[in-house]
Order: sequence, then structure tokens, then C-alpha cells
Amino acid sequence: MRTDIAGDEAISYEVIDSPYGQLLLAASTRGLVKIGLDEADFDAELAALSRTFEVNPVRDSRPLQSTIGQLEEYFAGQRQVFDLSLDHRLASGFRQTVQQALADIPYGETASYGEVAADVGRPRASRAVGTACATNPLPLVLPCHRVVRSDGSVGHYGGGPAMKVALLDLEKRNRAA
Amino acid sequence: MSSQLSPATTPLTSTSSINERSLVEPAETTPLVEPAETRSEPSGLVIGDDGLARPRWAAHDPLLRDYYDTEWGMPVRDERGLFERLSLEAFQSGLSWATILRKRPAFRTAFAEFMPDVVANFDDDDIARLLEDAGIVRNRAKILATINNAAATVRLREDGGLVQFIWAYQPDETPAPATYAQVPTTSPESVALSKALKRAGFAFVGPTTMYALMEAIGMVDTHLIGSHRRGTSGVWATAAVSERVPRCTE
Repeated sequence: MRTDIAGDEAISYEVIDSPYGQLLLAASTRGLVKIGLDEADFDAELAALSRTFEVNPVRDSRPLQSTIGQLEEYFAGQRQVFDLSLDHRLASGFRQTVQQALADIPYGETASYGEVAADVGRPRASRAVGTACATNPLPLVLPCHRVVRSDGSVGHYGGGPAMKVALLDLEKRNRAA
Repeated sequence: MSSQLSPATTPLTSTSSINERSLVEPAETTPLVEPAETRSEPSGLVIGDDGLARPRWAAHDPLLRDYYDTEWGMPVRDERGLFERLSLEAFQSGLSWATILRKRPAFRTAFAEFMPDVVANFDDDDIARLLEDAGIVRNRAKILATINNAAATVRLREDGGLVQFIWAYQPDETPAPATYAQVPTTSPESVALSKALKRAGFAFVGPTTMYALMEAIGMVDTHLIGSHRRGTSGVWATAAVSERVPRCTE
């Protein structure tokens, strides 16, 4: 449970354009806390942040400058690893464990849900891994797009399956570079 | 802000009580306290002058208070009612829920009481009329989405209908949050519902929006432990559920 959310919080957010549509970026005082991929859901996501952290999110891109810069580099194929402070408080328990483990899947590679489950020591929990990916608050940076079905099909993605395919393609093209 | 019909729609500006709260204190030990005294609880509940505990978003504005006491979290199991909530959800984006509640009578008039068959057949004249109606939120994209969603609702009847469609995503158990920080913002079910509705042709139905809908219509009970409304929907076996410690669903 998220019992460690204390006062003196602040949430800054910005909406940016990406090659795959608009992205919502939100940061707490601890780091990047939320990336939204579904434009029609941004307002609900901001409202949910407001409730969770009991503050009004403020549109302010300054705390998000390095996030924006690194995402731009990533979309241009010029960055393979993100170096950002992350705030994992929107997830908890096993889901958070899985989401943090996603960063271990190398750029340009994929893993199946079952492989990720094995990596976190719960080889039979592939469905729970799917849940952790579906509720990942920090897509792109925690690369749930690199988790695919064991039959090789891409599976679901918050930004739509086409975006997942495009991201995997982007990474494949730039892996060797 | 959005996430209609949900407490999240009212941004919380007061952070004073959260600074004072003991973060490890189990909220189960702090239910209703002395009545007739307005005080803020560590959980984020406020005891009103009627002695009842409500979340801060519903503690002061009479409109929100009445909505919280009589509507929010109560089951909606009729097609028209569900379509209305889905529609107002989309319109709320960027506005407070209080604004939508104030405009709701005008919305109902403008959208034929949200009867899907009627709205699905709105034509260009209707769109022009809606864009001129200062009583509602005049946003072309949302107006078009509402008409589109009405048609999708009508189509769903061949497949069991909107009510059955949405309620099929009710989770096996409900959260039992002690504080706002423990109220989820999405869930596997809301992600799946969002995906299924999009596949059925609906717009403005993202997973966070759908979680707010699930809260508003009683599919989950996210009344904070200690609220006088917790367990009132009849959807959840209150005795068993309210004692349960919230946990991560795997």
C-alpha cells in the first residue's frame, strides 16, 4: 500500500507531442511519477494524481526538462537507457517489483510475460506480470512495451498495439547503432 | 481536472491535515468521532456538523455533499443512466465535477435525457444547437463523441447491452482504502473495460476515466474506511469487505 505519501508534495505536469501522439508527463518532488499515453484519459489521470497526492497538479515543464529531453532522444533513436529519478508510489507490491524489473530487459530485445515472471522469482505468475504491465504508471521509461506474448504477438499496450509495434521497431533499428 | 463523478474531480487544495497525520496509524481505529464538531481526520475524512464522516471533496459544497450522500457509489444498472454517466465523464475533462453537477439539468435537456436512441440520431442541426447552448460544455469533440457513443450503445444491444457489458468488469473484491493515497487510479479491470469499450467503438473511455466510472456506479467501493457511506451500495458484503486489509491484486 502507498502509506508513505507525506505532506509537502507537489505535482508538476506537462503535455508533449511525440511521434505517437500526445504524452502526459507528471513529476512529484521525488521524480517522474506518471506517463500517460491515452490523450482522452489525461484529465482523469491528473484528477487521480490530485486525489492520491492531495495537491493540485500544476502545469510546469521545468521539473520535467530532463525527462522531455531524454524522451526526445529516445524517439530519435539516440538514447537506449533512461537516467531519471523515478517515483514508484503509484504502484505497490508485486506490480511495482515487476515494473522495476522491466528496466532489465535490454533495449531492442523482448521478453515474454512468463520470462519476466521467472526473472522476479514467480515463474507461474505470468498473468500477474500482464496485470503489472497493464497498470504500469511509467510506460516507455519502464519498458513494458518490451514484454510480448510467448507466441510472439505483441499483446496489449496502453498507447495501442500499433505504438508497441512501432517502439519495438524503433529499438530494433537503432540497437546496433 | 476530470475523472468525472469521482472525488478526484475536486482537486484537494487543503494539505494541512495531511501534514499532521501519522502515516502508520491504522485508519480502522479512527472511525466516526464525536459528532457535532467539524474536524478533519488523519485519513482525509471530515466530520460534518451533522456528525457524519465524509471525504474532504464532499464536506463543504452542499451540491457535492448531497451528491456524495445520495448518488456517488450507488449502483447504476440501467442503460440510460450508464450512458449519461459515460457522457458526462467525457464532458468533465478540464472542469470540476461541481461544474458538471450544476450543468447537469441543462445537459439532460440538451441531450434528450440521454436516451441513446435519440442521441444516436442527432444531426448537424442538433450539433449546431448544442454548440450554441451555454448551459452545457460546448466542446465539439466531446459533443461528437457523445453522439458516437450513443450509436455504440445502441449497437451493443445485440451483444447483451451496455449494462451487462460494463458490469462484467466488476472485480472479485473491492479496495478498502483508509486514505486517498490508497485509492487506486486504475485497475486491471478498468484497463480491460477501457480496451473493450474502445473495441466496441466508444471514445473518451481511458482506463483512469473508467476507474472513476467504476467508483461512481458502485462497481468498486472506494469510500474511505470510516465514511458514513462506506458499504451502502449493497454491491459488496460490507462486514467482510470493510474489515479486509487492502492489498495488491495479483
